[in-house]
Amino acid sequence: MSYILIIDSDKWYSQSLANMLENRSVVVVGGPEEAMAEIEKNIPYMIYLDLNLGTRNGLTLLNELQSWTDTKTLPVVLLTPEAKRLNIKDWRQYGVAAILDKTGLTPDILRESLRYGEP
Amino acid sequence: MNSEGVDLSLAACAYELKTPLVLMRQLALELEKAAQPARRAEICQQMRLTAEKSLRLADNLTKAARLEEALFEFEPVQVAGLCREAADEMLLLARAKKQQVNVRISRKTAVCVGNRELLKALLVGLLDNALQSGPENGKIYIMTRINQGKIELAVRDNGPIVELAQFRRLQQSLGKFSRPIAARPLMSGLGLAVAEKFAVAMNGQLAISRHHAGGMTFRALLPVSRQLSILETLR
Repeated sequence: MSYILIIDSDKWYSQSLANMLENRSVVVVGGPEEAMAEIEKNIPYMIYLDLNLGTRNGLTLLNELQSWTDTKTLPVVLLTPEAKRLNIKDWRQYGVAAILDKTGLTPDILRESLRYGEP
Repeated sequence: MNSEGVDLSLAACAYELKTPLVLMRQLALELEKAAQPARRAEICQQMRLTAEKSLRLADNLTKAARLEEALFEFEPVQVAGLCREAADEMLLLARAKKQQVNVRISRKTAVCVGNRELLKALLVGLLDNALQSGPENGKIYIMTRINQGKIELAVRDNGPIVELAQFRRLQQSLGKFSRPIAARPLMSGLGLAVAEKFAVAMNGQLAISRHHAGGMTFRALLPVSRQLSILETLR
Protein backbone atom coordinates (compact mmCIF):
# COMPACT_ATOMS: atom_id res chain seq x y z
CA MET A 1 0.00 0.00 0.00
CA SER A 2 1.41 3.39 -0.90
CA TYR A 3 1.94 6.13 1.61
CA ILE A 4 3.09 9.69 2.25
CA LEU A 5 6.71 10.04 3.35
CA ILE A 6 7.65 12.90 5.70
CA ILE A 7 11.35 13.70 6.05
CA ASP A 8 12.19 16.12 8.83
CA SER A 9 14.98 16.03 11.39
CA ASP A 10 12.62 17.28 14.12
CA LYS A 11 10.73 14.21 15.19
CA TRP A 12 8.15 16.13 17.22
CA TYR A 13 7.37 18.35 14.24
CA SER A 14 7.10 15.51 11.76
CA GLN A 15 4.95 13.41 14.10
CA SER A 16 2.59 16.34 14.62
CA LEU A 17 2.38 16.88 10.86
CA ALA A 18 1.66 13.18 10.35
CA ASN A 19 -1.16 13.40 12.91
CA MET A 20 -2.72 16.20 10.88
CA LEU A 21 -2.76 13.98 7.80
CA GLU A 22 -5.39 11.82 9.43
CA ASN A 23 -6.82 8.76 7.68
CA ARG A 24 -3.74 8.51 5.49
CA SER A 25 -0.84 6.13 5.63
CA VAL A 26 2.20 8.15 6.68
CA VAL A 27 5.83 7.19 7.33
CA VAL A 28 8.10 9.59 9.19
CA VAL A 29 11.92 9.57 8.92
CA GLY A 30 14.66 11.89 10.09
CA GLY A 31 17.05 12.02 7.14
CA PRO A 32 17.97 11.05 3.57
CA GLU A 33 19.39 7.60 4.35
CA GLU A 34 16.28 6.49 6.21
CA ALA A 35 14.15 8.01 3.46
CA MET A 36 15.91 6.01 0.73
CA ALA A 37 15.61 2.85 2.82
CA GLU A 38 11.84 3.34 3.00
CA ILE A 39 11.58 4.23 -0.70
CA GLU A 40 13.47 1.10 -1.65
CA LYS A 41 10.95 -1.01 0.28
CA ASN A 42 7.96 0.74 -1.21
CA ILE A 43 7.66 3.95 -3.21
CA PRO A 44 5.48 6.64 -1.57
CA TYR A 45 3.00 8.64 -3.62
CA MET A 46 4.33 11.92 -2.32
CA ILE A 47 7.02 13.34 -0.07
CA TYR A 48 7.09 16.23 2.37
CA LEU A 49 10.70 17.29 2.85
CA ASP A 50 12.39 19.77 5.14
CA LEU A 51 15.45 21.00 3.26
CA ASN A 52 17.46 21.72 6.36
CA LEU A 53 18.40 18.33 7.74
CA GLY A 54 21.54 19.66 9.36
CA THR A 55 24.59 17.67 8.40
CA ARG A 56 22.47 15.73 5.94
CA ASN A 57 21.27 17.95 3.17
CA GLY A 58 17.79 17.62 1.69
CA LEU A 59 19.21 18.59 -1.70
CA THR A 60 21.28 15.39 -1.71
CA LEU A 61 18.08 13.41 -1.44
CA LEU A 62 16.40 15.38 -4.22
CA ASN A 63 19.34 14.67 -6.54
CA GLU A 64 19.21 11.01 -5.59
CA LEU A 65 15.51 10.83 -6.43
CA GLN A 66 16.08 12.48 -9.78
CA SER A 67 18.72 9.95 -10.73
CA TRP A 68 16.32 6.98 -10.76
CA THR A 69 13.54 6.51 -13.31
CA ASP A 70 11.06 5.16 -10.76
CA THR A 71 11.50 8.07 -8.36
CA LYS A 72 12.14 10.89 -10.81
CA THR A 73 8.47 11.88 -11.02
CA LEU A 74 7.73 11.50 -7.33
CA PRO A 75 6.08 14.74 -6.22
CA VAL A 76 7.99 16.50 -3.45
CA VAL A 77 6.57 19.29 -1.31
CA LEU A 78 9.24 21.29 0.49
CA LEU A 79 8.54 22.41 4.05
CA THR A 80 10.72 25.23 5.29
CA PRO A 81 10.56 28.33 7.49
CA GLU A 82 12.52 30.11 4.76
CA ALA A 83 9.90 29.62 2.04
CA LYS A 84 9.69 33.33 1.31
CA ARG A 85 13.31 33.29 0.16
CA LEU A 86 12.87 30.38 -2.23
CA ASN A 87 11.61 30.50 -5.80
CA ILE A 88 9.68 27.40 -6.93
CA LYS A 89 11.11 27.80 -10.44
CA ASP A 90 14.58 27.00 -9.09
CA TRP A 91 13.30 23.77 -7.55
CA ARG A 92 11.08 22.23 -10.21
CA GLN A 93 14.08 20.49 -11.77
CA TYR A 94 14.35 18.52 -8.52
CA GLY A 95 10.79 17.29 -8.72
CA VAL A 96 9.51 19.89 -6.27
CA ALA A 97 5.81 20.52 -6.78
CA ALA A 98 5.33 23.18 -4.12
CA ILE A 99 7.06 24.98 -1.28
CA LEU A 100 5.13 25.39 1.96
CA ASP A 101 6.02 27.91 4.60
CA LYS A 102 6.31 26.22 7.99
CA THR A 103 5.71 29.54 9.74
CA GLY A 104 2.25 29.89 8.20
CA LEU A 105 1.16 26.32 7.64
CA THR A 106 -2.49 25.53 8.49
CA PRO A 107 -4.49 22.30 8.31
CA ASP A 108 -6.29 23.69 5.23
CA ILE A 109 -3.04 24.48 3.41
CA LEU A 110 -1.71 21.05 4.27
CA ARG A 111 -4.88 19.37 3.02
CA GLU A 112 -4.73 21.41 -0.18
CA SER A 113 -1.16 20.28 -0.79
CA LEU A 114 -2.25 16.64 -0.88
CA ARG A 115 -3.46 17.18 -4.44
CA TYR A 116 0.15 17.08 -5.60
CA GLY A 117 0.18 13.42 -4.74
CA GLU A 118 -2.96 12.63 -6.68
CA PRO A 119 -2.47 10.71 -9.93
CA MET B 1 30.44 40.70 15.35
CA ASN B 2 31.45 41.43 18.94
CA SER B 3 34.90 42.46 20.07
CA GLU B 4 35.99 38.86 20.56
CA GLY B 5 35.08 38.12 16.98
CA VAL B 6 32.42 35.46 17.58
CA ASP B 7 29.68 36.10 15.10
CA LEU B 8 26.42 36.10 16.97
CA SER B 9 24.74 37.80 14.10
CA LEU B 10 21.14 38.88 14.16
CA ALA B 11 20.41 36.54 11.25
CA ALA B 12 21.83 33.53 13.11
CA CYS B 13 19.90 34.44 16.27
CA ALA B 14 16.71 34.93 14.28
CA TYR B 15 17.03 31.56 12.58
CA GLU B 16 17.79 29.68 15.78
CA LEU B 17 14.91 31.27 17.64
CA LYS B 18 12.47 30.79 14.75
CA THR B 19 12.90 27.02 14.64
CA PRO B 20 11.42 26.21 18.07
CA LEU B 21 8.64 28.74 17.48
CA VAL B 22 7.70 26.93 14.27
CA LEU B 23 7.51 23.71 16.27
CA MET B 24 5.39 25.29 19.01
CA ARG B 25 3.02 26.70 16.44
CA GLN B 26 2.63 23.32 14.79
CA LEU B 27 2.00 21.64 18.13
CA ALA B 28 -0.58 24.29 19.02
CA LEU B 29 -2.37 23.66 15.71
CA GLU B 30 -2.55 19.98 16.49
CA LEU B 31 -3.61 20.63 20.08
CA GLU B 32 -6.68 22.54 18.86
CA LYS B 33 -7.97 19.38 17.22
CA ALA B 34 -6.43 16.60 19.27
CA ALA B 35 -9.09 14.49 20.96
CA GLN B 36 -7.05 11.88 22.81
CA PRO B 37 -6.12 13.00 26.36
CA ALA B 38 -2.79 11.16 26.20
CA ARG B 39 -1.81 12.94 23.01
CA ARG B 40 -2.98 16.29 24.40
CA ALA B 41 -0.79 15.78 27.47
CA GLU B 42 2.14 14.80 25.28
CA ILE B 43 1.73 17.89 23.12
CA CYS B 44 1.59 20.16 26.19
CA GLN B 45 4.78 18.61 27.51
CA GLN B 46 6.53 19.02 24.16
CA MET B 47 5.47 22.66 23.99
CA ARG B 48 6.74 23.30 27.49
CA LEU B 49 10.10 21.60 26.83
CA THR B 50 10.50 23.47 23.54
CA ALA B 51 9.76 26.80 25.24
CA GLU B 52 12.25 26.00 28.01
CA LYS B 53 14.91 25.21 25.43
CA SER B 54 14.31 28.53 23.69
CA LEU B 55 14.51 30.33 27.01
CA ARG B 56 17.86 28.65 27.67
CA LEU B 57 19.16 29.88 24.35
CA ALA B 58 17.87 33.38 24.97
CA ASP B 59 19.46 33.32 28.42
CA ASN B 60 22.76 32.17 26.97
CA LEU B 61 22.69 34.98 24.44
CA THR B 62 22.24 37.43 27.30
CA LYS B 63 25.17 35.87 29.15
CA ALA B 64 27.27 36.01 25.98
CA ALA B 65 26.48 39.72 25.65
CA ARG B 66 27.50 40.32 29.27
CA LEU B 67 30.85 38.56 28.97
CA GLU B 68 32.53 41.68 27.73
CA GLU B 69 31.46 43.54 30.86
CA ALA B 70 33.48 41.03 32.91
CA LEU B 71 30.51 40.36 35.17
CA PHE B 72 31.36 36.71 35.67
CA GLU B 73 33.81 35.84 38.41
CA PHE B 74 35.98 32.79 38.27
CA GLU B 75 36.34 30.25 41.06
CA PRO B 76 37.20 26.59 41.58
CA VAL B 77 34.27 24.47 40.37
CA GLN B 78 33.67 20.84 41.29
CA VAL B 79 33.02 19.20 37.93
CA ALA B 80 31.37 16.03 39.26
CA GLY B 81 28.54 17.91 40.92
CA LEU B 82 28.15 20.21 37.95
CA CYS B 83 27.86 17.32 35.48
CA ARG B 84 25.24 15.58 37.61
CA GLU B 85 23.32 18.83 37.96
CA ALA B 86 23.31 19.36 34.21
CA ALA B 87 22.16 15.76 33.64
CA ASP B 88 19.33 16.21 36.19
CA GLU B 89 18.21 19.43 34.56
CA MET B 90 17.87 17.70 31.21
CA LEU B 91 16.22 14.57 32.58
CA LEU B 92 12.69 15.52 31.54
CA LEU B 93 13.75 16.45 28.03
CA ALA B 94 15.80 13.27 27.73
CA ARG B 95 12.77 11.19 28.76
CA ALA B 96 10.53 13.01 26.30
CA LYS B 97 13.09 12.31 23.56
CA LYS B 98 13.34 8.70 24.79
CA GLN B 99 17.07 8.98 25.36
CA GLN B 100 19.33 8.40 28.32
CA VAL B 101 21.96 10.70 29.76
CA ASN B 102 24.83 8.97 31.55
CA VAL B 103 27.47 10.70 33.63
CA ARG B 104 30.98 9.28 33.77
CA ILE B 105 33.32 11.14 36.06
CA SER B 106 37.00 10.32 36.14
CA ARG B 107 38.31 10.16 39.72
CA LYS B 108 41.14 12.53 38.89
CA THR B 109 39.06 15.36 37.47
CA ALA B 110 38.11 17.19 40.62
CA VAL B 111 38.12 20.91 40.13
CA CYS B 112 38.46 23.34 37.28
CA VAL B 113 38.69 27.11 37.23
CA GLY B 114 35.70 28.83 35.77
CA ASN B 115 32.37 30.42 36.40
CA ARG B 116 29.78 27.93 37.61
CA GLU B 117 26.89 29.62 35.82
CA LEU B 118 28.71 29.74 32.48
CA LEU B 119 30.03 26.21 32.84
CA LYS B 120 26.61 24.83 33.53
CA ALA B 121 25.14 26.80 30.60
CA LEU B 122 27.89 25.43 28.34
CA LEU B 123 27.27 21.85 29.44
CA VAL B 124 23.49 22.13 29.22
CA GLY B 125 23.87 23.67 25.76
CA LEU B 126 25.93 20.71 24.58
CA LEU B 127 23.36 18.35 26.08
CA ASP B 128 20.53 20.20 24.28
CA ASN B 129 22.42 19.68 21.05
CA ALA B 130 23.06 16.00 21.76
CA LEU B 131 19.42 15.31 22.65
CA GLN B 132 18.26 17.00 19.48
CA SER B 133 20.46 14.93 17.20
CA GLY B 134 20.40 11.58 18.96
CA PRO B 135 18.01 8.78 18.02
CA GLU B 136 15.33 7.32 20.28
CA ASN B 137 16.71 4.81 22.78
CA GLY B 138 20.10 6.43 22.28
CA LYS B 139 22.57 7.13 25.03
CA ILE B 140 24.36 10.37 25.67
CA TYR B 141 27.44 10.47 27.83
CA ILE B 142 28.81 13.32 29.90
CA MET B 143 32.43 12.49 30.59
CA THR B 144 35.31 14.11 32.38
CA ARG B 145 39.03 13.45 32.32
CA ILE B 146 42.39 15.17 32.43
CA ASN B 147 43.59 15.86 28.90
CA GLN B 148 46.91 17.56 28.20
CA GLY B 149 46.97 19.13 31.64
CA LYS B 150 43.44 20.50 31.35
CA ILE B 151 40.09 19.31 32.58
CA GLU B 152 37.99 18.01 29.75
CA LEU B 153 34.20 18.07 29.96
CA ALA B 154 32.81 16.08 27.07
CA VAL B 155 29.36 15.31 25.73
CA ARG B 156 29.12 12.33 23.41
CA ASP B 157 26.03 11.51 21.38
CA ASN B 158 25.19 8.78 18.90
CA GLY B 159 23.44 10.89 16.31
CA PRO B 160 23.74 10.43 12.54
CA ILE B 161 27.05 10.06 10.75
CA VAL B 162 28.53 13.47 10.04
CA GLU B 163 29.95 13.78 6.55
CA LEU B 164 33.66 14.54 6.48
CA ALA B 165 33.27 17.76 4.51
CA GLN B 166 30.72 19.08 6.98
CA PHE B 167 32.90 18.02 9.91
CA ARG B 168 35.95 19.79 8.46
CA ARG B 169 33.94 22.98 8.00
CA LEU B 170 32.78 22.75 11.59
CA GLN B 171 36.32 22.14 12.85
CA GLN B 172 37.60 25.10 10.89
CA SER B 173 34.93 27.35 12.29
CA LEU B 174 36.01 26.62 15.87
CA GLY B 175 38.76 28.78 17.23
CA LYS B 176 38.41 31.23 14.41
CA PHE B 177 35.27 32.85 15.74
CA SER B 178 33.83 32.70 12.27
CA ARG B 179 30.19 32.72 11.33
CA PRO B 180 28.34 29.89 13.07
CA ILE B 181 27.15 27.21 10.73
CA ALA B 182 24.34 24.74 11.14
CA ALA B 183 26.31 21.84 12.49
CA ARG B 184 23.47 19.63 13.41
CA PRO B 185 19.79 19.52 12.82
CA LEU B 186 17.92 22.35 14.41
CA MET B 187 20.35 24.81 15.78
CA SER B 188 23.77 24.34 17.16
CA GLY B 189 25.20 26.80 14.76
CA LEU B 190 24.40 29.47 17.29
CA GLY B 191 24.47 27.12 20.27
CA LEU B 192 27.98 26.02 19.36
CA ALA B 193 29.18 29.58 18.88
CA VAL B 194 27.82 30.51 22.32
CA ALA B 195 29.37 27.41 23.94
CA GLU B 196 32.71 28.28 22.43
CA LYS B 197 32.40 31.87 23.59
CA PHE B 198 31.82 30.64 27.16
CA ALA B 199 34.77 28.26 27.00
CA VAL B 200 37.09 30.96 25.69
CA ALA B 201 35.89 33.42 28.35
CA MET B 202 37.07 30.90 30.96
CA ASN B 203 40.48 30.57 29.29
CA GLY B 204 39.45 27.30 27.73
CA GLN B 205 38.54 26.01 24.30
CA LEU B 206 36.00 23.85 22.51
CA ALA B 207 37.01 20.84 20.42
CA ILE B 208 35.03 18.29 18.48
CA SER B 209 35.46 14.82 17.10
CA ARG B 210 33.19 12.69 14.99
CA HIS B 211 32.63 8.97 15.20
CA HIS B 212 32.55 6.65 12.23
CA ALA B 213 29.59 4.76 13.65
CA GLY B 214 27.74 8.05 14.00
CA GLY B 215 27.52 10.91 16.45
CA MET B 216 29.98 13.42 17.73
CA THR B 217 31.79 14.38 20.89
CA PHE B 218 31.97 18.02 21.91
CA ARG B 219 34.72 18.76 24.42
CA ALA B 220 35.36 21.79 26.57
CA LEU B 221 38.98 21.98 27.79
CA LEU B 222 39.35 24.12 30.88
CA PRO B 223 42.11 25.10 33.31
CA VAL B 224 42.62 22.85 36.31
CA SER B 225 42.28 24.47 39.71
CA ARG B 226 45.51 24.05 41.63
CA GLN B 227 44.03 25.36 44.91
CA LEU B 228 42.33 22.18 46.05
CA SER B 229 45.04 19.98 44.62
CA ILE B 230 47.53 21.90 46.79
CA LEU B 231 45.31 21.27 49.83
CA GLU B 232 45.23 17.58 48.92
CA THR B 233 49.03 17.39 48.90
CA LEU B 234 49.23 19.06 52.31
CA ARG B 235 47.05 16.39 53.96
